[in-house]
Amino acid sequence: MSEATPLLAGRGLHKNFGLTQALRGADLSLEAGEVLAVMGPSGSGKSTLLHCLAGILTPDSGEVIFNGQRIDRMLDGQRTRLRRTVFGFVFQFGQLVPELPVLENIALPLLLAGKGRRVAIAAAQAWLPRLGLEGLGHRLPGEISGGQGQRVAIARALVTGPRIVFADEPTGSLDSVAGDQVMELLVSVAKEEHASVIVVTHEPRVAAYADRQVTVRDGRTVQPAVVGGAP
Amino acid sequence: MSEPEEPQPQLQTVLFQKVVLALMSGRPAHEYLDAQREAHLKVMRELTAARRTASLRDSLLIDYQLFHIEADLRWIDHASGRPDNLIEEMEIEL
Amino acid sequence: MNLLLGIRMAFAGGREAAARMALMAIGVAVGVVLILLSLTGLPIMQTHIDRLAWHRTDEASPATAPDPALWIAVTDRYAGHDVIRVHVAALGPRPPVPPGIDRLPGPGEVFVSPALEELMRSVPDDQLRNRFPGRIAGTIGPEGLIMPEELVGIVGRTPAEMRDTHGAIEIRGIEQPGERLDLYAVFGVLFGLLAALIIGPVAVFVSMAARIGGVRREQRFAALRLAGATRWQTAVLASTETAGAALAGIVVGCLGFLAARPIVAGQVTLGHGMHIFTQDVRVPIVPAVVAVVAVLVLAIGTTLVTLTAVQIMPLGVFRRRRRRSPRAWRLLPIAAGILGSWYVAMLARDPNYEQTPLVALISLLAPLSILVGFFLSGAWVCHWLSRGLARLSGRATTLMVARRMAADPYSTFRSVSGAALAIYVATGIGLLAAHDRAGAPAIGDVPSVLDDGVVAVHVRGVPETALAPFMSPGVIVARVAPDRQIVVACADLARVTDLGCPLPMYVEGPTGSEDYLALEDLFALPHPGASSADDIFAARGFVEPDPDADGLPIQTLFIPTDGTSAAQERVRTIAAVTVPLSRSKISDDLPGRTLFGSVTGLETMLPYVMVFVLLVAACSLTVSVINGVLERRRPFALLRASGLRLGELRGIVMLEIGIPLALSALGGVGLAMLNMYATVPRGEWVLPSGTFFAGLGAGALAAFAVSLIALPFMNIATRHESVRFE
Repeated sequence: MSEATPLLAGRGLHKNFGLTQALRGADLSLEAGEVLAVMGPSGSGKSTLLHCLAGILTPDSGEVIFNGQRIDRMLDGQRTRLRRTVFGFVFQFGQLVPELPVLENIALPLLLAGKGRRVAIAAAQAWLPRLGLEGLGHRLPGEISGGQGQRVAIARALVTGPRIVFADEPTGSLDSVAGDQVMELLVSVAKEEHASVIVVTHEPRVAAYADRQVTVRDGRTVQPAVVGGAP
Repeated sequence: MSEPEEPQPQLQTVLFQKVVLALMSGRPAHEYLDAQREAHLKVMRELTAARRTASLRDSLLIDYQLFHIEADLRWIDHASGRPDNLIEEMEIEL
Repeated sequence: MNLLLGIRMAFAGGREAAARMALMAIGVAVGVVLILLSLTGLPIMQTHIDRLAWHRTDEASPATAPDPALWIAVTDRYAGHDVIRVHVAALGPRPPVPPGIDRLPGPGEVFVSPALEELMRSVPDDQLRNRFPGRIAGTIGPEGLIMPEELVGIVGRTPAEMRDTHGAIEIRGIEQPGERLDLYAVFGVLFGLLAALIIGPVAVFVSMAARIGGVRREQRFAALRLAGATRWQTAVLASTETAGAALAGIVVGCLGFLAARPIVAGQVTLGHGMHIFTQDVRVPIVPAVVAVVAVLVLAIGTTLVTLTAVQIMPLGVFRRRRRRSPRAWRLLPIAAGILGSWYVAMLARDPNYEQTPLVALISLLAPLSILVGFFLSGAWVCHWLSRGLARLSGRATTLMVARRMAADPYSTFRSVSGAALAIYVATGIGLLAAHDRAGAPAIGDVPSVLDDGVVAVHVRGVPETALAPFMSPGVIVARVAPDRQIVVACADLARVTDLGCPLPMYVEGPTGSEDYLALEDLFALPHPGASSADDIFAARGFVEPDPDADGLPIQTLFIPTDGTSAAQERVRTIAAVTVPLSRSKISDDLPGRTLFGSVTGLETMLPYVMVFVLLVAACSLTVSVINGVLERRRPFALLRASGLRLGELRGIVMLEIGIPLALSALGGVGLAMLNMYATVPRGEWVLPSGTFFAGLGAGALAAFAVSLIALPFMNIATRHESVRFE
């Protein structure tokens, strides 16, 4: 285990949605520059864990620490700013604005941050070849394939230069070939940008792209045992 | 070349017996199964990393291996997710 | 079986579907209330005119009862209000009885309206009460009044007293309503046009309400079609849901209309501050049924229309393709209409030109073409404006708005078409009113020439013996010659009016006759009821008295007082008692005439119409906002998860409403101006007053503000929890 402080850490996280207990004391830590897979069956609470770590949800109890700061204690406005500038997000589907062409979808975070239009579009343009999207800049989301759409989402997630990319089942709607492409690109480009990645998935082949994996079961995290121990 | 091959479900005998034993032992099998999963995933991670620099033929072979290991994992998840009375049934048969 | 399944499906959708149906029902309810209210316009006017009927009773009125009666009806004045004073004497056991009472008052009895009774209690008798000699024996009911606060008194007399009274006539019947006056034709057309133009935006709104949650519903029905339902079955299922919501909305709307009636009656005044009775705010059965059925058919029709796309290509719903962008041909109908109007107007300016059937056809089709073209070209305008906006916008919010408009200019325009149409109509009416006002001589603006404190008592030929109480030094006498010329010395007249010598003469042309008109107004005696165009008496000129003048009948006495209202009313009371036939005027009662059917009528209605239609537009906009958010719920929620601020999201949505609304408003005004430039000669171009534009702006802002109601909804709809388990 590295002795350095983790980039992002969640300790003792609990979260209820009404009567459903989604998280019952989950722990997780993410080092700088690593790709972490969060695995588990559906309903295990892995997505909820991701949302708590990213500051989208506030846990009922426990702490989330990013870069030494308590995210769960922050005001909504501060957390929103964090998500906008320092975190990047890739969801399973439906995140692209249907009426904006691909270039503007990618440039959207920059535009929202107040960058000039020309600058933002130029920055987005630079991302197209990196993700194999050449020539698709002016297509609408409804006119490209699922795999291409997810790559656009990745470009948008990375365009602001985030420290951490949160990916929630990024290949869930894709077939295995497209899924491989997307994961390969996500991991390689993130490493190029020195961004850490947390991927939530239930597929082992997707988790295999990560450096390390954590399992979530029934709202708790299960740390993997050391390999080679006798049953 | 034009004749299809008979599908061969290769039985990893040792793995199969270990998992079945763990499930039927009556004690919670999580620890063992988690360790087994981690072992599988470790191999999958190594294979995935190797595939990056492999030739086309090698990468096809690695894909084949990845899918099969994943199949084992999925079976382990499936078996450990079954309700207990079916496991007792297996006990009688064996 | 299909119907039952449809009902089950409609209710099986859970909370979201229930919310959708509720929204549709509310939309339909609001539409029904607004349409029913717009249909009350004509009945209100017609009832008002009907109520005036019995004031016009005279000898020629057709018999309504076996026995005759003696009758004098006068419009008196008290402190700036009209007071209707009637003296009656029955000449048999079954005389004609005016509405509002069940028998004529006997000698010594007086029937009064509730407002008059209250007024009489609060002022000294010699100023008002004494005009109605007798004891108060009954109240006049609403059927006999033109407005709740009307001052009416009916005095009972003996036949002998009446025969002694100068001016008493024998009547055989009370004038009945039912005679359609000329004004009805004008207003009939106007209200018909207004109703149609009001129903237009309301129809847009109802069809929008029926589209709520459109994408999801379409997906559901596509799934049905793919599962094997026939087109007919799918249509029935789709219609059932809409029909259910629409029926619920209609019921609520009718109840809402009934609840709104007293409020409307309290708010609306028909010029001069005349209020209306609640029972007059009603809709005739047939138009009401037609309107309600039309709303139902419209709601179901919209569902079926949007369904046809699904019927034909169910798979297309899941992968939406771009519709072709609007083409330039859409501008043709408007261009043709304006061209046609210009052509007809040019022809009409030539005084020798005779109207051929072709020209008549063009003049009818041109406005229609403009109206149709308005709806066709709106999408084109939206499309090109959005492209310009996209090119110019540097911020994310405006860029998203521009792209949204460009992606579907049809629905963008659809949601603001109601507002744009309202503004076009309102600007058109405002321009028309301003133009009329500038052109016509201002009948209603004749200044008062009577000195303050002078009471002009029009005795109308009463024998001089009866006038003894008035004859004191200082009283000026004006006589009338057989040809209706007023005979009075200008020196005398100068003592009681602003006028000097010589007596004014009528001069042709727009100026020079102000004095003459003012004096004519002083002597004019209109029929009771402001809507009548006939006069009982109108002077034909003014001449100096010659030596024989003293033999002529006296028309008017000018009685100076100390100027207090008490003194003036006392004089009036004496006049009323001495000469029941007389009418008196003081300076404050002039100008006496404001024709109800004139331009001011149009202008008073304009604010109501504008508010009404802009309110409808506001509802359309709100529906559009809600719909837009529902359609893009997931992307918006995920954007918020990725760090989009709620305020920015609200900003995007508000701009999506505001920009098309502002552009459509400008377009509506522009089109109306264009219309005016094409049809009115250059010298007569008039802009409506500043208050008109201020009202327009305020109305548009109010419409916008109503749509802000949807903002809290946005937070809930795009919260992360709501898209968690998709």
